[in-house]
Amino acid sequence: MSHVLTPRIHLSLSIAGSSEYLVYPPESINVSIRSDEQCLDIQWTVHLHNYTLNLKMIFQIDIYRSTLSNTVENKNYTTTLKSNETLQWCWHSVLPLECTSHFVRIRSMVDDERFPESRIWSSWSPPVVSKGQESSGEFHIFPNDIMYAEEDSSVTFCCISRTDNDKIEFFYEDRYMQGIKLSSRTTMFEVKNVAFVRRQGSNAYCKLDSSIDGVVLYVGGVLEEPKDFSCQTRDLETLNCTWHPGRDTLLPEHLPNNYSLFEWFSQKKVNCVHRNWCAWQLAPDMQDTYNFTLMAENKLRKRRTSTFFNVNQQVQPKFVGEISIENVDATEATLRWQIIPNQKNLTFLCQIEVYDNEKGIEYNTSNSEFTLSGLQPYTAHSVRVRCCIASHFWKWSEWNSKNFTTKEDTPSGALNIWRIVEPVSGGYNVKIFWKPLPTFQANGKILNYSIAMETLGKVPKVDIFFSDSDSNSTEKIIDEQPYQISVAAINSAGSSIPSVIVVSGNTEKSIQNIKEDRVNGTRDGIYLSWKPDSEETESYVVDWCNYPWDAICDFQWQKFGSNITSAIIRSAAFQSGVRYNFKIYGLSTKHEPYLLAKKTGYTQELALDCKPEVTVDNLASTSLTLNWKDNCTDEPQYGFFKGYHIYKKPEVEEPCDSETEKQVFSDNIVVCMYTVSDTKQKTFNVKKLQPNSTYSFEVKAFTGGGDSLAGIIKVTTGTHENTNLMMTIILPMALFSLLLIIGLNLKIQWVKEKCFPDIPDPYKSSVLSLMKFKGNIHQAILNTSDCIPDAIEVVNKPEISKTQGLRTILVGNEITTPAYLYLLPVGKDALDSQACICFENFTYCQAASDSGSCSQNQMIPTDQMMSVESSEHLLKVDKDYIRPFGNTPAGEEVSLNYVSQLAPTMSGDKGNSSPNLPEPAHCSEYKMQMVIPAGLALSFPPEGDRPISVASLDQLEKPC
Amino acid sequence: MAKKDFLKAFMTDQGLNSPHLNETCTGSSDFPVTETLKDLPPVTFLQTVSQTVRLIEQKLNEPVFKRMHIYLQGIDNNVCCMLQALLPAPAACPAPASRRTLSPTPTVGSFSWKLERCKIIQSYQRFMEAVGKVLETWGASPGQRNRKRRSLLNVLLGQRRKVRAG
Repeated sequence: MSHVLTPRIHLSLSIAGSSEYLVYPPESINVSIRSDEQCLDIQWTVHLHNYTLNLKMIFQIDIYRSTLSNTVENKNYTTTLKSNETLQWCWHSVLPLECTSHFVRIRSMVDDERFPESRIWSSWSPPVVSKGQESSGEFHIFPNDIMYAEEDSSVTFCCISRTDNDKIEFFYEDRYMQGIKLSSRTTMFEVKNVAFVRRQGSNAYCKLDSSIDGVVLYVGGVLEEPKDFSCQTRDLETLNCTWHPGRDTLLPEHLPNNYSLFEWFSQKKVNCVHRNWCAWQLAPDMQDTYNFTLMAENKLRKRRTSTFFNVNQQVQPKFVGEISIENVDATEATLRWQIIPNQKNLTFLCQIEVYDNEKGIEYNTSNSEFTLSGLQPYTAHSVRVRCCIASHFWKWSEWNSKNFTTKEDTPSGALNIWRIVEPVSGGYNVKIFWKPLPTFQANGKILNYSIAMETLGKVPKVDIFFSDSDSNSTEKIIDEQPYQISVAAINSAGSSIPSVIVVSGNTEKSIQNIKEDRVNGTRDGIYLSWKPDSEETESYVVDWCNYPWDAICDFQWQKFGSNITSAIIRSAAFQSGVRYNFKIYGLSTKHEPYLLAKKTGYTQELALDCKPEVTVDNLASTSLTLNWKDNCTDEPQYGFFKGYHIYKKPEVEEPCDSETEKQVFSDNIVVCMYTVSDTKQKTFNVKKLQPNSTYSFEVKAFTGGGDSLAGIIKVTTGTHENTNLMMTIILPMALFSLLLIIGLNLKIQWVKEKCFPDIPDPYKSSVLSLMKFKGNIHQAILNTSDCIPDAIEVVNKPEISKTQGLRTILVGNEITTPAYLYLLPVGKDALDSQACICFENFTYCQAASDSGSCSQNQMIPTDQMMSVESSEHLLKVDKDYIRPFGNTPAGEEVSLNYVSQLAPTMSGDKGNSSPNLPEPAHCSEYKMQMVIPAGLALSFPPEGDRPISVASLDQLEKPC
Repeated sequence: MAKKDFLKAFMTDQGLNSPHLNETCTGSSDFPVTETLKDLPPVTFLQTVSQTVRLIEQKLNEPVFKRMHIYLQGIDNNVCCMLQALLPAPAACPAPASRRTLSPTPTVGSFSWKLERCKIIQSYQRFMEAVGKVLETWGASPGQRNRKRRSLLNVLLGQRRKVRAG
């Protein structure tokens, strides 16, 4: 609804006599609101006469709210006037147009090169108003009820109150929002960057007291331009156009995105039902070229895209029905098919693919039939065909597939056969094995196998029998003559070429003479090699059992050409820790096998399942002996038993010696390993150990698969000090002592011989001869063991002073004078009637002085001078003491008093005793033997209160 | 049960479950209230129920109310079955009275449409509450409280016998 505020009349001015200019002010201005688009629709005209001129004109359009100062739009609208045309322009407002009144005024100017002088603006038209609802006296929200917006756009609302300055609140999705007051009754609210909340739209509403007026805002994604727009036909009758519509706009179902096709040449339009494809009916033989525009639109946006093409170049053929397969035999079949469009001007290229179980073959043809040849008999085939337009490739048709099976044919090739010959009484048990023909050789369903056994001996004989189709072996006992065995597979079409093998018992006799070799396995299998045999060898055969421990061992064999001398034997049945035995045969040109070699091995050996029990023997500081017991044996379930590993693990790390091998365990522990290669050896001497060290020894049986469980023992060696001491001190000392003893012994012997000859045996003494005993001689001689020394009495001898003029004082506890030394018997037998023989040998006493046994006999001079003299003399005495008697100076003989061998004393013998001999006491013993100058006492310096005893030579001469 | 299912579900779907809009949904109802229903003879009562349910079906005949529409049809069928036990078939379930002149149907999905549909569902639930209260007054014996449908039918059949006898 618009209102012209001030009516005016347009002017057309012409100035005579000068340049003429044209002014055509706008007339009949009409302004209306298109609410759904929020568009202010402005329409106007100019004077009718001017249309005929096709003038170019500019219209300036001013739109303002309430006052001119509040202009919201100033638009220059340029156009070329056409006849009967109402000029129109739509102004899109951000603010809903109902929210407030909008004023529109227009002026014009001729902008035509033909009338350059007319470029003068006309006067403004009177303002035309589009009234808002602010004065309606009703409570409203604008836009009202429903509106649409794209994501992230901004949306403006206004609330109009009934009266001035009513308190209006605005909520968008229950969120209160502040507004901008446009007038006393109108408030504007702006929601920025609206987001999709739900398909049912977001609610925006104004609240005035208890009244609510609202609008649902549907927020959708931006409508995208359709992509990959293209059209094609399958039959040249219907065109199918497809496109990718882009992401879902998420608008509600009742507000869909609409798609339509417009064809420019035919000026036809089709509204599309689907959002990503549309069908178009082609006019037959009328039009080849098409120019399509796809239009996508919704309430918020319009998009369009176009394509231009020749329909004959965008044909994707399609089949009518299935392909047919005819005339199928063993190796051939004929295919036929029908394809559209079948216009005569179209040529096709068809691709045929044929598959059997193993391979595919491709053929091309431009015909609608094709004969397949060279097919595999009795084989399921799959064939598929597709076609395209040959003149201009657009797209292949879909594949059209069909399956068929060719008919049977006679088996091709020969069976792969082998045998086992076992001696039995009177002949051999022959087991013949064959491998079923593969499908490509069977050429049909194998019905049975024929086995013909022909003797090669002097009497020809043929025995033919059959085996079931599902069997792969047969068994027969033959006599000792050789046989030729032929095996053939039979199907409904015929028989295969017979496979021939000659069986002879001689072959098996040679088996015992061939040594079995060990071979190493790999993950792939077991590697075997053999020496090439004579030129007559046609091929080689390796046989084995997949399950050697089982009664049904799953016998296997593999044939190799004559030029092959090694192979890796593979089998899915091979397992670790299983010993497989292989026999390698040569097969002669006469089909007679002969054994070449025997091999045994594992794909992978395992460690033995045993554990040695270890003990230690001969433990020393640097060595020990390990002994062990175990039940480890060379069993085929694990691996080849190769010996023992002995791991030495010291507590304190030490380097491995040359006899060992350094091993690093997974936990970075370094050990030294000895290897015992003899599986029967159960002891091992470990040397070069550190004394006083602790070692762990582990003994493990090993195979190629590793070590068994370990027998472990921990040992500590002996101490180092004892040994060293033994070696460094005690031994040399012992040696030295031994030498010393030997030396001393020799010396003593020498001294003894020189100075102290052996004490004469009293029994052999001449004295005995002088004595005339009556009765037993033993009554006259006392055994030394019978002598019991009891007491000593020291008695002074006056001869000392007579000889030396010196006084000798015997100092003792109870000794005064006389100072003679007696050995007196004590005890009840002290006065035994048996006489004793006493020897006093001072030399012996000196030797025993350390033990103090002779302390009572120490003689100390009382005079200092004498003491010194006697000391010197003593030295001299010592010196002389060891001097041989023979060397004794003659002058000194007098002064020397040899106190030695005491003759046996008897009670009746006193009067005959020599004056030089001491008088025998009742006891008899050896006394210290000494040489001492007559009258000179042995003296030592006085030592405090030490008791001093002095024994003169005279005393010694006294009988005890 | 119906109250919870349909009104709450509708308001949640449409984003109307806010305090301001909740109030707007609760308005005056065009359907009979308890006081009106309780004085009706049983047959008239059931016919009123049937007609009201059908009216609501008409108002909510839009895809968004598909489930509710099926539910209402079920109620109407049950009521008609009971009426047909009491009355001859043509008179049992009469067509609803001519609809009053309603304000123009708002655009589907508009704000006013949302509020109007909300009010209809609210009114329907009030009406069904009133129906429930009336049915309670029809007095099932304590031993029959758990078998209301049978009790209702017995009451109706008793009514018919009275009518025929009278």
